[in-house]
Amino acid sequence: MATSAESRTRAYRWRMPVAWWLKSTHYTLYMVRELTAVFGALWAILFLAQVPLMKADYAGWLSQMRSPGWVLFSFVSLLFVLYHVWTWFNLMGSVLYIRLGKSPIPGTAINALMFAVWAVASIVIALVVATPILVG
Amino acid sequence: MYKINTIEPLWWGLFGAGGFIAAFLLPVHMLVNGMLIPLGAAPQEAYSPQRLAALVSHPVVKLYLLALVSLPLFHWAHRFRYLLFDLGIHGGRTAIAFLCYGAAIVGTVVAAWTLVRV
Repeated sequence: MATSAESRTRAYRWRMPVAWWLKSTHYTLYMVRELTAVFGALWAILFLAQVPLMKADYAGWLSQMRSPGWVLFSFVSLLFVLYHVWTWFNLMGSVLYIRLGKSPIPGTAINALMFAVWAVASIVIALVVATPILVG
Repeated sequence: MYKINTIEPLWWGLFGAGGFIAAFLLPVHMLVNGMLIPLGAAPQEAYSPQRLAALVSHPVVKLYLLALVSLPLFHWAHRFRYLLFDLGIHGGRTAIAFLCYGAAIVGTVVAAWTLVRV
């Protein structure tokens, strides 16, 4: 008689079908949301690789960042990360509990606030990076 | 196994911080540094050699870039770890966790080293 732990516990092992996430649009979008992190991380690493060139090899940096591959990858990554933005900030109303006086701020207001702060921050960063306003 | 899971709040905290950085900061950089500047839509003075050298040499910019790279890596690590579970990979859970968070830690060290030497 077998005595290993494996055979003593004869629990039913249920396995998800591999393609479970294709069965419903909600499941698929959930997996797309999880996948957005891959594009964010990969883009950040490739961007980091450009930073030393900006100072040490300006011509090399110019040709690298003007390559169609970088622009295309940035565009695709932007689409994925925008989906992350949408899902992340829409979650905030459920995750954050902020009370103003006696009544809690409604979740939808917190979500809207997140998007507003995001828009302002994006404009400020774009002005700093894409115009010679700061460090002229 | 349980060692890497007992510090789950740490991984989750870094995941959350990374989620905020990825949401707040990455889109505008993808648009500006990945599309507008490469396509010539930004004024050239914005990315002149002098301005770029001054920017990337500044300690505050370096710290900013470290956060911009490092925290989305931890955000990725946490999501990718569970993405693999969701795809039905049941073996090697500890190895997967170590590889994911390990990659984020290595990436952070490489980023810090790269930025210090700029």
